[in-house]
Amino acid sequence: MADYFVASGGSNTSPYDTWAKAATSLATALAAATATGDRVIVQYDAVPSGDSGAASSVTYTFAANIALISASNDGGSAYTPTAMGESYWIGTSTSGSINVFLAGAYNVYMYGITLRSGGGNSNAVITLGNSDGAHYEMEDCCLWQASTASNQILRLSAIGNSHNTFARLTRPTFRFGHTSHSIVAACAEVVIEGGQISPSGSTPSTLFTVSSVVAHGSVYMEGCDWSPVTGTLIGSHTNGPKNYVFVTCRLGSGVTVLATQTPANKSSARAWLYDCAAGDAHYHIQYHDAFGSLTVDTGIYANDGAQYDGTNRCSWKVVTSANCSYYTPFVTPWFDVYHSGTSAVTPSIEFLRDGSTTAYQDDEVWGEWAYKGTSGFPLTTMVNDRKALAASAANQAAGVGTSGWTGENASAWSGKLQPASTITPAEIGHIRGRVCVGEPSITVYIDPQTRLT
Amino acid sequence: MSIINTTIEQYPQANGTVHVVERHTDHLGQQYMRTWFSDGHDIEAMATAHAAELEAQLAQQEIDEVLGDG
Repeated sequence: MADYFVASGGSNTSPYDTWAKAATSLATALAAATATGDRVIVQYDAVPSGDSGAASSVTYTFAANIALISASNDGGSAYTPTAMGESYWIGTSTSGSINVFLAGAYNVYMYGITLRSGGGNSNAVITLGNSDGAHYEMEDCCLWQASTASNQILRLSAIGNSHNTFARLTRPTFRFGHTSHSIVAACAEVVIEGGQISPSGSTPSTLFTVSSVVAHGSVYMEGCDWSPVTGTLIGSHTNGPKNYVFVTCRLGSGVTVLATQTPANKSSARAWLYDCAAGDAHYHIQYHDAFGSLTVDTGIYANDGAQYDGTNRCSWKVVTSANCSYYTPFVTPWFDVYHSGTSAVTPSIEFLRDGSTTAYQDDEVWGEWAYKGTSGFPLTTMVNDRKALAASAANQAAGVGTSGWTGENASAWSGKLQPASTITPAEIGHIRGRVCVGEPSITVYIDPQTRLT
Repeated sequence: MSIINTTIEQYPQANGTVHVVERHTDHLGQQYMRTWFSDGHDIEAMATAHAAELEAQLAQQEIDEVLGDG
Protein backbone atom coordinates (compact mmCIF):
# COMPACT_ATOMS: atom_id res chain seq x y z
CA MET A 1 0.00 0.00 0.00
CA ALA A 2 1.42 3.37 -0.99
CA ASP A 3 0.41 7.00 -0.81
CA TYR A 4 0.58 9.22 -3.86
CA PHE A 5 0.28 12.97 -3.36
CA VAL A 6 -1.15 15.47 -5.80
CA ALA A 7 -0.68 19.22 -5.48
CA SER A 8 -0.08 22.14 -7.77
CA GLY A 9 3.06 23.03 -5.77
CA GLY A 10 4.67 19.58 -6.02
CA SER A 11 7.81 18.78 -7.98
CA ASN A 12 6.06 15.99 -9.91
CA THR A 13 8.77 13.54 -8.84
CA SER A 14 8.05 9.83 -8.77
CA PRO A 15 7.04 8.08 -6.53
CA TYR A 16 5.06 11.19 -5.40
CA ASP A 17 5.23 10.01 -1.81
CA THR A 18 5.53 13.41 -0.13
CA TRP A 19 3.89 16.76 -0.62
CA ALA A 20 7.20 18.09 -1.91
CA LYS A 21 7.34 15.42 -4.62
CA ALA A 22 3.62 15.56 -5.32
CA ALA A 23 2.36 14.83 -8.79
CA THR A 24 1.04 17.84 -10.64
CA SER A 25 -1.59 15.82 -12.40
CA LEU A 26 -4.31 13.68 -10.83
CA ALA A 27 -4.16 11.26 -13.76
CA THR A 28 -0.46 10.66 -13.06
CA ALA A 29 -1.14 9.68 -9.48
CA LEU A 30 -4.15 7.54 -10.38
CA ALA A 31 -2.04 5.68 -12.95
CA ALA A 32 0.59 5.02 -10.30
CA ALA A 33 -1.90 3.77 -7.73
CA THR A 34 -2.21 0.22 -9.00
CA ALA A 35 -2.20 -1.80 -5.80
CA THR A 36 -5.19 -2.52 -3.63
CA GLY A 37 -5.22 -0.12 -0.70
CA ASP A 38 -3.19 2.59 -2.37
CA ARG A 39 -4.18 6.15 -1.54
CA VAL A 40 -4.16 9.19 -3.78
CA ILE A 41 -4.19 12.33 -1.68
CA VAL A 42 -5.07 15.62 -3.34
CA GLN A 43 -4.35 18.94 -1.68
CA TYR A 44 -7.85 20.34 -1.33
CA ASP A 45 -6.82 23.97 -1.91
CA ALA A 46 -4.09 23.32 -4.48
CA VAL A 47 -5.63 21.16 -7.17
CA PRO A 48 -3.29 21.28 -10.19
CA SER A 49 -4.50 23.76 -12.75
CA GLY A 50 -4.86 21.04 -15.37
CA ASP A 51 -7.32 19.26 -13.11
CA SER A 52 -9.25 22.27 -11.89
CA GLY A 53 -9.33 24.11 -15.19
CA ALA A 54 -9.86 21.43 -17.78
CA ALA A 55 -10.41 22.86 -21.24
CA SER A 56 -12.12 19.76 -22.59
CA SER A 57 -13.92 16.72 -21.24
CA VAL A 58 -11.86 14.62 -18.91
CA THR A 59 -12.03 11.03 -17.64
CA TYR A 60 -10.25 10.00 -14.47
CA THR A 61 -9.70 6.26 -14.47
CA PHE A 62 -9.01 4.24 -11.36
CA ALA A 63 -6.55 1.36 -11.82
CA ALA A 64 -7.15 -0.54 -8.58
CA ASN A 65 -9.22 -0.66 -5.40
CA ILE A 66 -7.93 2.60 -3.97
CA ALA A 67 -8.90 5.65 -1.95
CA LEU A 68 -8.93 9.18 -3.33
CA ILE A 69 -8.76 11.67 -0.49
CA SER A 70 -8.96 15.44 -0.43
CA ALA A 71 -6.73 16.75 2.34
CA SER A 72 -4.73 19.62 3.70
CA ASN A 73 -0.99 19.75 3.14
CA ASP A 74 0.49 19.30 6.60
CA GLY A 75 4.06 18.97 5.33
CA GLY A 76 6.16 15.88 4.65
CA SER A 77 3.65 13.14 4.09
CA ALA A 78 1.23 14.34 6.74
CA TYR A 79 -2.30 15.36 5.93
CA THR A 80 -5.70 16.05 7.40
CA PRO A 81 -8.75 14.99 5.37
CA THR A 82 -10.39 18.22 4.26
CA ALA A 83 -13.26 18.54 1.82
CA MET A 84 -12.93 20.77 -1.23
CA GLY A 85 -16.44 22.06 -0.66
CA GLU A 86 -17.60 24.54 -3.26
CA SER A 87 -14.40 26.57 -3.18
CA TYR A 88 -12.14 24.05 -4.94
CA TRP A 89 -12.82 21.28 -7.45
CA ILE A 90 -11.67 18.73 -9.95
CA GLY A 91 -13.01 19.53 -13.40
CA THR A 92 -13.27 23.07 -14.54
CA SER A 93 -14.60 26.51 -13.91
CA THR A 94 -14.45 27.19 -17.62
CA SER A 95 -17.55 27.58 -19.73
CA GLY A 96 -18.10 25.01 -22.41
CA SER A 97 -19.17 21.47 -23.08
CA ILE A 98 -16.78 19.93 -20.58
CA ASN A 99 -17.78 16.61 -19.05
CA VAL A 100 -16.19 14.97 -16.03
CA PHE A 101 -16.18 11.18 -15.80
CA LEU A 102 -14.92 8.79 -13.16
CA ALA A 103 -14.18 5.36 -14.56
CA GLY A 104 -12.66 2.05 -13.57
CA ALA A 105 -14.39 -1.13 -12.47
CA TYR A 106 -12.95 -1.12 -8.97
CA ASN A 107 -13.99 -0.57 -5.40
CA VAL A 108 -13.06 3.04 -4.79
CA TYR A 109 -13.47 5.29 -1.76
CA MET A 110 -13.43 9.06 -2.12
CA TYR A 111 -13.39 11.71 0.55
CA GLY A 112 -14.09 15.40 0.11
CA ILE A 113 -13.81 15.45 -3.67
CA THR A 114 -15.74 18.05 -5.65
CA LEU A 115 -16.42 17.35 -9.31
CA ARG A 116 -17.40 20.37 -11.39
CA SER A 117 -18.51 20.31 -15.02
CA GLY A 118 -18.24 23.04 -17.61
CA GLY A 119 -20.26 26.18 -17.08
CA GLY A 120 -22.14 28.51 -19.35
CA ASN A 121 -24.91 27.64 -21.74
CA SER A 122 -23.31 24.41 -22.97
CA ASN A 123 -24.17 20.77 -22.51
CA ALA A 124 -22.12 19.08 -19.81
CA VAL A 125 -22.44 16.05 -17.62
CA ILE A 126 -20.80 14.55 -14.56
CA THR A 127 -20.76 10.76 -14.51
CA LEU A 128 -19.69 8.49 -11.67
CA GLY A 129 -18.84 4.85 -12.20
CA ASN A 130 -18.57 5.10 -15.95
CA SER A 131 -17.48 1.47 -16.11
CA ASP A 132 -19.38 -1.78 -15.83
CA GLY A 133 -18.60 -3.18 -12.38
CA ALA A 134 -17.69 0.07 -10.63
CA HIS A 135 -18.36 0.39 -6.89
CA TYR A 136 -17.73 3.90 -5.58
CA GLU A 137 -18.25 5.17 -2.06
CA MET A 138 -18.02 8.93 -1.63
CA GLU A 139 -17.99 10.79 1.65
CA ASP A 140 -18.47 14.57 1.99
CA CYS A 141 -18.17 14.99 -1.76
CA CYS A 142 -19.83 17.53 -4.02
CA LEU A 143 -21.20 17.01 -7.50
CA TRP A 144 -21.45 20.37 -9.21
CA GLN A 145 -23.33 20.64 -12.47
CA ALA A 146 -22.13 24.10 -13.43
CA SER A 147 -23.76 24.32 -16.85
CA THR A 148 -26.62 26.77 -17.07
CA ALA A 149 -28.04 25.03 -20.13
CA SER A 150 -31.34 23.28 -19.60
CA ASN A 151 -31.80 19.55 -18.94
CA GLN A 152 -28.23 18.76 -17.87
CA ILE A 153 -27.65 15.96 -15.36
CA LEU A 154 -25.57 14.50 -12.60
CA ARG A 155 -25.28 10.85 -13.56
CA LEU A 156 -24.49 8.37 -10.83
CA SER A 157 -23.52 5.43 -12.99
CA ALA A 158 -22.56 4.08 -16.34
CA ILE A 159 -25.33 3.55 -18.82
CA GLY A 160 -25.98 0.27 -20.55
CA ASN A 161 -28.40 -2.59 -20.18
CA SER A 162 -25.75 -4.99 -18.91
CA HIS A 163 -23.96 -2.62 -16.55
CA ASN A 164 -23.54 -3.18 -12.83
CA THR A 165 -22.73 -0.07 -10.83
CA PHE A 166 -22.97 0.85 -7.17
CA ALA A 167 -22.62 4.28 -5.61
CA ARG A 168 -22.88 5.20 -1.95
CA LEU A 169 -22.81 8.92 -1.26
CA THR A 170 -22.52 9.96 2.36
CA ARG A 171 -23.33 13.60 3.07
CA PRO A 172 -23.11 14.61 -0.60
CA THR A 173 -23.86 18.09 -1.83
CA PHE A 174 -25.55 18.38 -5.19
CA ARG A 175 -25.21 21.71 -6.93
CA PHE A 176 -27.19 22.52 -10.03
CA GLY A 177 -26.90 25.30 -12.58
CA HIS A 178 -30.49 25.35 -13.78
CA THR A 179 -33.92 24.42 -12.45
CA SER A 180 -34.27 21.79 -15.20
CA HIS A 181 -31.18 19.91 -14.02
CA SER A 182 -31.59 16.60 -12.22
CA ILE A 183 -29.94 13.53 -10.76
CA VAL A 184 -29.97 10.43 -12.95
CA ALA A 185 -29.24 7.18 -11.15
CA ALA A 186 -29.18 5.27 -14.46
CA CYS A 187 -28.00 1.66 -14.00
CA ALA A 188 -26.75 1.98 -10.46
CA GLU A 189 -27.74 0.76 -7.08
CA VAL A 190 -27.46 4.04 -5.21
CA VAL A 191 -27.41 4.88 -1.51
CA ILE A 192 -27.55 8.54 -0.50
CA GLU A 193 -27.19 9.35 3.19
CA GLY A 194 -27.46 12.88 4.47
CA GLY A 195 -27.68 14.43 1.02
CA GLN A 196 -28.46 18.06 0.41
CA ILE A 197 -28.85 20.56 -2.41
CA SER A 198 -26.45 23.47 -2.43
CA PRO A 199 -28.23 26.76 -1.77
CA SER A 200 -25.63 28.42 -3.96
CA GLY A 201 -27.03 26.78 -7.08
CA SER A 202 -30.45 26.28 -8.61
CA THR A 203 -33.11 23.97 -7.23
CA PRO A 204 -34.36 21.33 -9.66
CA SER A 205 -38.04 21.33 -10.45
CA THR A 206 -37.75 17.52 -10.71
CA LEU A 207 -34.97 15.96 -8.66
CA PHE A 208 -34.65 12.46 -10.15
CA THR A 209 -35.13 11.75 -13.83
CA VAL A 210 -34.00 9.21 -16.40
CA SER A 211 -33.09 11.78 -19.05
CA SER A 212 -33.15 9.41 -22.01
CA VAL A 213 -30.67 6.97 -20.51
CA VAL A 214 -31.26 3.38 -19.46
CA ALA A 215 -32.47 2.96 -15.88
CA HIS A 216 -32.71 0.05 -13.51
CA GLY A 217 -31.84 -0.65 -9.88
CA SER A 218 -32.83 1.39 -6.89
CA VAL A 219 -32.05 4.55 -4.97
CA TYR A 220 -32.13 4.34 -1.16
CA MET A 221 -32.01 7.64 0.71
CA GLU A 222 -31.73 8.20 4.43
CA GLY A 223 -31.60 11.53 6.25
CA CYS A 224 -31.57 13.64 3.08
CA ASP A 225 -32.79 17.21 3.10
CA TRP A 226 -34.78 17.60 -0.09
CA SER A 227 -36.82 20.50 1.32
CA PRO A 228 -35.77 22.95 -1.42
CA VAL A 229 -37.54 20.77 -4.00
CA THR A 230 -41.17 21.86 -4.08
CA GLY A 231 -41.92 20.57 -7.57
CA THR A 232 -41.49 16.85 -8.10
CA LEU A 233 -39.11 14.32 -6.54
CA ILE A 234 -39.31 11.61 -9.21
CA GLY A 235 -40.06 12.23 -12.85
CA SER A 236 -41.47 9.86 -15.42
CA HIS A 237 -39.25 6.82 -15.99
CA THR A 238 -39.67 6.08 -19.65
CA ASN A 239 -36.31 4.32 -19.92
CA GLY A 240 -36.58 1.65 -17.29
CA PRO A 241 -37.92 0.73 -13.86
CA LYS A 242 -36.46 2.22 -10.71
CA ASN A 243 -37.36 1.95 -7.04
CA TYR A 244 -36.82 4.96 -4.78
CA VAL A 245 -36.86 4.62 -1.01
CA PHE A 246 -36.84 7.70 1.21
CA VAL A 247 -36.27 7.21 4.94
CA THR A 248 -36.45 10.04 7.49
CA CYS A 249 -35.95 12.68 4.84
CA ARG A 250 -37.14 16.27 4.93
CA LEU A 251 -39.42 17.07 2.02
CA GLY A 252 -40.32 20.28 0.28
CA SER A 253 -43.63 21.90 1.08
CA GLY A 254 -46.25 20.80 -1.42
CA VAL A 255 -43.88 18.48 -3.28
CA THR A 256 -45.25 15.82 -5.62
CA VAL A 257 -43.49 12.55 -4.91
CA LEU A 258 -44.09 10.77 -8.18
CA ALA A 259 -44.91 12.33 -11.52
CA THR A 260 -47.33 10.68 -13.91
CA GLN A 261 -45.46 7.65 -15.23
CA THR A 262 -44.96 6.49 -18.77
CA PRO A 263 -45.38 3.54 -19.19
CA ALA A 264 -48.44 3.87 -16.95
CA ASN A 265 -47.72 0.70 -15.04
CA LYS A 266 -45.20 -0.72 -12.57
CA SER A 267 -42.48 -1.03 -15.19
CA SER A 268 -41.73 2.64 -14.49
CA ALA A 269 -40.79 4.23 -11.16
CA ARG A 270 -42.07 3.41 -7.67
CA ALA A 271 -41.52 5.28 -4.43
CA TRP A 272 -41.59 4.30 -0.76
CA LEU A 273 -41.37 7.01 1.91
CA TYR A 274 -40.91 6.17 5.57
CA ASP A 275 -41.24 8.94 8.17
CA CYS A 276 -40.64 11.71 5.66
CA ALA A 277 -42.46 15.04 5.81
CA ALA A 278 -42.17 18.73 5.09
CA GLY A 279 -43.04 19.68 8.65
CA ASP A 280 -43.14 18.45 12.22
CA ALA A 281 -45.01 15.21 11.49
CA HIS A 282 -43.44 11.87 12.36
CA TYR A 283 -45.92 9.28 11.23
CA HIS A 284 -46.00 9.40 7.47
CA ILE A 285 -45.76 6.39 5.24
CA GLN A 286 -46.22 6.84 1.53
CA TYR A 287 -46.12 4.47 -1.38
CA HIS A 288 -46.61 5.57 -4.99
CA ASP A 289 -46.65 3.83 -8.33
CA ALA A 290 -48.43 4.32 -11.64
CA PHE A 291 -51.51 2.54 -10.30
CA GLY A 292 -52.05 4.79 -7.29
CA SER A 293 -50.82 6.31 -4.08
CA LEU A 294 -50.95 5.36 -0.43
CA THR A 295 -50.67 7.96 2.32
CA VAL A 296 -51.41 8.09 6.03
CA ASP A 297 -54.68 9.89 6.69
CA THR A 298 -55.37 11.40 10.11
CA GLY A 299 -58.77 12.82 9.13
CA ILE A 300 -60.62 9.52 8.70
CA TYR A 301 -59.86 6.45 10.79
CA ALA A 302 -61.38 3.50 12.61
CA ASN A 303 -62.27 4.32 16.19
CA ASP A 304 -60.27 1.33 17.41
CA GLY A 305 -57.81 1.54 14.55
CA ALA A 306 -54.10 1.91 14.24
CA GLN A 307 -52.44 4.63 16.31
CA TYR A 308 -49.60 6.76 15.03
CA ASP A 309 -48.43 8.34 18.28
CA GLY A 310 -49.78 6.11 20.99
CA THR A 311 -52.97 8.17 21.27
CA ASN A 312 -54.25 9.44 17.94
CA ARG A 313 -55.42 7.21 15.16
CA CYS A 314 -54.98 7.09 11.44
CA SER A 315 -55.84 5.11 8.36
CA TRP A 316 -54.04 4.29 5.16
CA LYS A 317 -55.69 6.06 2.29
CA VAL A 318 -55.38 4.51 -1.13
CA VAL A 319 -56.13 6.70 -4.14
CA THR A 320 -55.98 4.78 -7.38
CA SER A 321 -55.13 6.22 -10.76
CA ALA A 322 -56.96 5.44 -13.98
CA ASN A 323 -54.41 2.74 -14.77
CA CYS A 324 -55.15 -0.09 -12.33
CA SER A 325 -57.58 -2.93 -12.90
CA TYR A 326 -58.89 -6.11 -11.34
CA TYR A 327 -56.12 -7.98 -13.13
CA THR A 328 -53.40 -5.42 -12.41
CA PRO A 329 -54.35 -3.82 -9.09
CA PHE A 330 -52.75 -1.25 -6.86
CA VAL A 331 -51.20 -3.21 -3.98
CA THR A 332 -50.40 -1.71 -0.60
CA PRO A 333 -47.28 -2.55 1.37
CA TRP A 334 -47.65 -5.40 3.84
CA PHE A 335 -48.57 -4.89 7.47
CA ASP A 336 -47.92 -7.64 10.00
CA VAL A 337 -49.47 -8.96 13.14
CA TYR A 338 -47.54 -11.33 15.36
CA HIS A 339 -49.37 -14.54 16.12
CA SER A 340 -48.04 -16.91 18.74
CA GLY A 341 -50.60 -19.67 18.24
CA THR A 342 -51.12 -22.41 15.72
CA SER A 343 -54.87 -22.81 15.99
CA ALA A 344 -57.29 -21.80 13.26
CA VAL A 345 -57.96 -18.07 13.06
CA THR A 346 -59.77 -15.70 10.75
CA PRO A 347 -57.82 -12.61 9.69
CA SER A 348 -59.75 -9.51 8.70
CA ILE A 349 -59.08 -5.91 7.69
CA GLU A 350 -61.57 -3.07 8.20
CA PHE A 351 -61.94 -0.53 5.43
CA LEU A 352 -64.18 2.37 4.49
CA ARG A 353 -65.73 3.89 1.41
CA ASP A 354 -66.36 7.60 1.91
CA GLY A 355 -68.96 9.57 -0.03
CA SER A 356 -71.15 6.60 -0.97
CA THR A 357 -73.14 3.94 0.83
CA THR A 358 -72.60 1.42 -1.95
CA ALA A 359 -70.48 -1.51 -0.91
CA TYR A 360 -67.21 -2.14 -2.62
CA GLN A 361 -67.15 -5.48 -4.37
CA ASP A 362 -64.57 -8.21 -4.39
CA ASP A 363 -63.30 -7.26 -7.83
CA GLU A 364 -62.72 -3.68 -6.64
CA VAL A 365 -61.09 -4.09 -3.24
CA TRP A 366 -59.76 -7.26 -1.65
CA GLY A 367 -57.35 -8.43 0.99
CA GLU A 368 -54.40 -10.76 0.82
CA TRP A 369 -52.78 -12.53 3.73
CA ALA A 370 -49.62 -14.57 4.05
CA TYR A 371 -49.19 -16.99 6.94
CA LYS A 372 -46.78 -19.79 7.72
CA GLY A 373 -48.90 -22.73 6.71
CA THR A 374 -46.11 -25.27 6.40
CA SER A 375 -44.48 -26.85 9.42
CA GLY A 376 -40.69 -26.83 9.61
CA PHE A 377 -40.06 -23.92 7.25
CA PRO A 378 -40.69 -20.18 7.12
CA LEU A 379 -42.61 -20.75 3.90
CA THR A 380 -45.81 -18.73 3.74
CA THR A 381 -49.15 -19.65 2.25
CA MET A 382 -51.22 -16.88 0.71
CA VAL A 383 -54.98 -16.47 0.79
CA ASN A 384 -57.26 -13.69 -0.37
CA ASP A 385 -60.88 -12.68 -0.71
CA ARG A 386 -60.66 -11.57 -4.31
CA LYS A 387 -63.40 -12.46 -6.75
CA ALA A 388 -62.65 -15.77 -8.43
CA LEU A 389 -61.69 -15.36 -12.05
CA ALA A 390 -64.84 -16.89 -13.48
CA ALA A 391 -67.19 -15.69 -10.75
CA SER A 392 -69.48 -12.68 -10.64
CA ALA A 393 -68.49 -9.82 -8.41
CA ALA A 394 -70.05 -9.80 -4.96
CA ASN A 395 -70.20 -7.22 -2.19
CA GLN A 396 -67.46 -7.41 0.35
CA ALA A 397 -68.65 -8.13 3.90
CA ALA A 398 -70.00 -5.35 6.07
CA GLY A 399 -67.56 -4.01 8.62
CA VAL A 400 -67.95 -2.46 12.02
CA GLY A 401 -70.31 0.14 10.58
CA THR A 402 -69.82 3.84 10.02
CA SER A 403 -70.33 4.46 13.74
CA GLY A 404 -67.03 2.66 14.19
CA TRP A 405 -65.21 5.26 12.09
CA THR A 406 -64.43 8.93 12.62
CA GLY A 407 -64.21 11.75 10.11
CA GLU A 408 -66.17 10.25 7.23
CA ASN A 409 -69.02 11.97 5.40
CA ALA A 410 -72.65 11.25 6.22
CA SER A 411 -72.69 9.03 3.18
CA ALA A 412 -70.20 6.22 3.69
CA TRP A 413 -69.91 2.45 3.83
CA SER A 414 -67.90 0.32 6.21
CA GLY A 415 -66.52 -2.97 4.97
CA LYS A 416 -64.41 -5.88 6.06
CA LEU A 417 -61.95 -7.97 4.11
CA GLN A 418 -61.49 -11.55 5.20
CA PRO A 419 -60.80 -14.89 3.52
CA ALA A 420 -63.68 -17.31 3.01
CA SER A 421 -62.14 -19.86 5.35
CA THR A 422 -60.10 -19.81 8.50
CA ILE A 423 -56.35 -20.14 8.25
CA THR A 424 -54.24 -22.43 10.41
CA PRO A 425 -50.66 -21.31 10.92
CA ALA A 426 -48.27 -24.22 11.31
CA GLU A 427 -45.65 -21.99 12.92
CA ILE A 428 -45.79 -19.00 15.22
CA GLY A 429 -44.77 -15.71 13.65
CA HIS A 430 -46.09 -12.88 11.59
CA ILE A 431 -49.32 -13.03 9.68
CA ARG A 432 -49.02 -10.50 6.91
CA GLY A 433 -51.85 -8.55 5.36
CA ARG A 434 -52.24 -6.11 2.50
CA VAL A 435 -55.01 -4.63 0.41
CA CYS A 436 -55.41 -4.66 -3.34
CA VAL A 437 -57.51 -2.12 -5.18
CA GLY A 438 -58.51 -2.99 -8.71
CA GLU A 439 -61.01 -0.24 -9.36
CA PRO A 440 -59.53 2.80 -11.11
CA SER A 441 -59.86 6.34 -9.74
CA ILE A 442 -61.33 5.54 -6.33
CA THR A 443 -60.40 6.26 -2.73
CA VAL A 444 -60.31 3.60 -0.01
CA TYR A 445 -59.54 4.05 3.68
CA ILE A 446 -57.90 1.06 5.31
CA ASP A 447 -57.30 0.35 8.96
CA PRO A 448 -53.75 -0.95 8.54
CA GLN A 449 -53.90 -3.85 10.90
CA THR A 450 -54.95 -7.44 10.52
CA ARG A 451 -57.43 -8.45 13.20
CA LEU A 452 -57.49 -12.07 14.27
CA THR A 453 -60.62 -13.79 15.57
CA MET B 1 -52.81 17.80 -26.65
CA SER B 2 -54.83 19.69 -24.09
CA ILE B 3 -56.17 19.15 -20.61
CA ILE B 4 -59.93 19.48 -20.85
CA ASN B 5 -60.93 18.63 -17.30
CA THR B 6 -59.41 18.91 -13.85
CA THR B 7 -60.89 17.66 -10.62
CA ILE B 8 -59.46 18.37 -7.19
CA GLU B 9 -60.11 16.28 -4.08
CA GLN B 10 -59.11 17.75 -0.72
CA TYR B 11 -58.70 15.71 2.46
CA PRO B 12 -58.06 17.76 5.65
CA GLN B 13 -55.58 16.22 8.07
CA ALA B 14 -55.31 16.47 11.84
CA ASN B 15 -52.21 18.69 11.67
CA GLY B 16 -53.86 21.27 9.42
CA THR B 17 -52.36 20.08 6.17
CA VAL B 18 -54.57 18.99 3.31
CA HIS B 19 -53.99 15.91 1.21
CA VAL B 20 -54.72 16.91 -2.38
CA VAL B 21 -55.55 14.60 -5.26
CA GLU B 22 -55.63 16.20 -8.69
CA ARG B 23 -57.01 14.32 -11.67
CA HIS B 24 -56.38 15.91 -15.05
CA THR B 25 -57.98 14.52 -18.20
CA ASP B 26 -56.77 15.24 -21.72
CA HIS B 27 -58.86 15.44 -24.87
CA LEU B 28 -58.25 11.73 -25.54
CA GLY B 29 -59.67 10.76 -22.18
CA GLN B 30 -56.30 9.88 -20.67
CA GLN B 31 -56.17 10.73 -16.99
CA TYR B 32 -53.15 12.00 -15.07
CA MET B 33 -53.20 11.86 -11.27
CA ARG B 34 -51.08 13.86 -8.87
CA THR B 35 -51.17 13.67 -5.07
CA TRP B 36 -49.48 16.02 -2.63
CA PHE B 37 -49.83 17.58 0.81
CA SER B 38 -50.77 21.25 0.96
CA ASP B 39 -49.63 23.39 3.85
CA GLY B 40 -51.37 26.65 3.14
CA HIS B 41 -50.91 26.56 -0.63
CA ASP B 42 -53.42 28.01 -3.07
CA ILE B 43 -54.60 24.57 -4.16
CA GLU B 44 -56.67 25.79 -7.10
CA ALA B 45 -53.75 27.79 -8.44
CA MET B 46 -51.36 24.87 -7.98
CA ALA B 47 -53.70 22.54 -9.87
CA THR B 48 -54.12 25.06 -12.67
CA ALA B 49 -50.38 25.47 -12.92
CA HIS B 50 -49.87 21.72 -13.01
CA ALA B 51 -52.46 21.35 -15.77
CA ALA B 52 -50.49 23.88 -17.81
CA GLU B 53 -47.25 21.96 -17.14
CA LEU B 54 -48.92 18.75 -18.20
CA GLU B 55 -50.10 20.32 -21.44
CA ALA B 56 -46.58 21.48 -22.18
CA GLN B 57 -45.13 18.05 -21.41
CA LEU B 58 -47.70 16.27 -23.53
CA ALA B 59 -47.10 18.64 -26.40
CA GLN B 60 -43.37 17.99 -26.13
CA GLN B 61 -43.99 14.24 -26.07
CA GLU B 62 -45.98 14.55 -29.27
CA ILE B 63 -43.16 16.45 -30.91
CA ASP B 64 -40.62 13.89 -29.73
CA GLU B 65 -42.73 11.04 -31.05
CA VAL B 66 -43.11 12.69 -34.44
CA LEU B 67 -39.40 13.38 -34.66
CA GLY B 68 -38.65 9.86 -33.51
CA ASP B 69 -40.85 8.40 -36.20
CA GLY B 70 -39.16 10.53 -38.82
